[in-house]
Amino acid sequence: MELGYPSRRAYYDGPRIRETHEAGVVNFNETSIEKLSASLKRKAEKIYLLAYHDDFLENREKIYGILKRCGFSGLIIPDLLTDFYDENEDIIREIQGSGYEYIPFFNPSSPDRVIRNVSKISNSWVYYGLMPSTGINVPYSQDAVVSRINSILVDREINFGFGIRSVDDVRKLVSYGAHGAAIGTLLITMLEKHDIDGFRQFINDLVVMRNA
Amino acid sequence: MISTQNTDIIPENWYNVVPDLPEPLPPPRDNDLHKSSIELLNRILPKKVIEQEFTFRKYEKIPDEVMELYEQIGRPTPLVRARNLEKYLDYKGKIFYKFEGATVTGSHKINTAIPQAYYAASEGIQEVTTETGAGQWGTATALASSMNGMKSKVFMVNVSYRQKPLRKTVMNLYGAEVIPSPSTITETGRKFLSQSPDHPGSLGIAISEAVEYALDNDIRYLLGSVMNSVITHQSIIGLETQKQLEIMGEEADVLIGCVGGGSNFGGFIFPLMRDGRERTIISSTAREVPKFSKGKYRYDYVDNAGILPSIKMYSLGSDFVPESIYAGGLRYHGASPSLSLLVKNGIVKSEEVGEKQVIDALRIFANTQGIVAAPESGHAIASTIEYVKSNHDEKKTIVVNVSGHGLLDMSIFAGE
Repeated sequence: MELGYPSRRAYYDGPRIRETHEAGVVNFNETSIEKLSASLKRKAEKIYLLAYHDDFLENREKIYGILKRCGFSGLIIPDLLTDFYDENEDIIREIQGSGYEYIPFFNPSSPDRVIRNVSKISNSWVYYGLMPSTGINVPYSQDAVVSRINSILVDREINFGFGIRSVDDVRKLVSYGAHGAAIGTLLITMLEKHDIDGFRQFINDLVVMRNA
Repeated sequence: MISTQNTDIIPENWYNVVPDLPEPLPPPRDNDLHKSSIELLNRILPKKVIEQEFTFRKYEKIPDEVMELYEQIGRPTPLVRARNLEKYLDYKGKIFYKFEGATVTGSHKINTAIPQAYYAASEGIQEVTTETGAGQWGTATALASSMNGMKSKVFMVNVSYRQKPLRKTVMNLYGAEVIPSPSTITETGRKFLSQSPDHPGSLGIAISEAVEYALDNDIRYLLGSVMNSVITHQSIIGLETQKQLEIMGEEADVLIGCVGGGSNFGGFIFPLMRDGRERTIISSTAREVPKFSKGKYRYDYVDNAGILPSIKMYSLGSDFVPESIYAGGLRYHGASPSLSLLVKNGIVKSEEVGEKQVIDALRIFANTQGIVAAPESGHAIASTIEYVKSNHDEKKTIVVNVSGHGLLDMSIFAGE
């Protein structure tokens, strides 16, 4: 499971998730993230924190404190490899040297050699965004996108995100070799509509699919 | 067989540089927190163009229908050794020029207008719109639309509209309706006209008007430059050049081209860079639009109204209104993200050239090679001459992309 550290610079999130960041920035406190992560840890083997580069640098000690107190396994920095590429090696070494997994985030615009090089110096699973931003819809071939990253990173756990809209989407991704899928916008939209039954049903369908 | 041209030189696939870049290309960003301008592209661009914009594929097959139209409009274009220019400059090396002015519309712009129009027509679209600065892109859009059975509406930067009436005539001849920008038919245009009734316009304003018009009328907008998909289509220039050099047993040491938004230049150099060979690559820009020296590498608006997503590029700011310079195609405030990345990393050098130097270069090229090149291409020729003067005794092979002819731009010689 992934928790987002609220940001005013959530550039790679689409409109829905950005709205949650807006609310998060206003309401954020460390107690709430401790409670939330404790709750998530009862459901998930591992939890990860997603923080944008500038928020990470500006709140480094605080974020490491949260990672430690809340039992996070690692950190995802979605803009590190696009907007701050020159800094990637230092930051990856720092995170891993502090005892946490660094999760590389790639997307279809990531050059092959960058995927190979960054994957070599990181030791965790890989997060692959299917779209340039979360929750948006641009035409693409899911099969081709998944085949591409699988061919570059053989035997590496790859989880997909951005633009996943249904259980069917997840099912297809899994059939193409995905290890997991990150679902955000779809669930946030359900919560906004107070569609708790739909939310539960969706999670239930995912569990049924996983166990099938 | 529809012509006697050597069509083996036309590649079967376009080349997309993005997966081969040295570092990730920063993706487009939304300008507004509460809506997605990236998703908005779905409403204005043909689906296949959006797919090509964000694809990771290095090669995209050129559809048969597009291939046939490429042949109809004069592809492959010639690669010629400029022997007389070499003699004139007393150069010990070799100079070749790729002549995109040999297409029927007289510039490289038709290379992307044809596939974009084809993809739009394949979706059942009846009308397309776009903007144009100097007029080459509008001309290409007008013809490509007609060839694909569609109407077209072109927003032409006001200063060019006034200075180049023949361009308008050509576009009309090809079936386009041409409107000076800023215009009264869009909100964006009306806003700028209210500030200044005689506004000279800019490419950024004209883009905003065309996009707004496309959204309001549920038609498609064709992209003239800057974006990845356009440069992918323009890769046909470099791919052909590579085959032609192979046929002649040559290898390029120096690549030179002019940069407005970066599409002719990117399309020319990217395929030739695939071999990883070390070579000098020079982009030539207008001194009056110093995007690489005075601009900042940052996220900025593509269009003035901020309707389209922001992209990371060298930019002078989307509100930059350039002088009414002789080379309208080089007035754009930014440059394509992929080219900007290579300039930032020092892989591509940039040079700025002024009007007098350009006119001198055009005159030399006309005298020696018989070609009246476009003022935009005159920058590339001026940079070539400058390179030769500074490296007189070396024996390099220089290839310069002459992106268009200047037969409709003769007014720049009027004061001579």
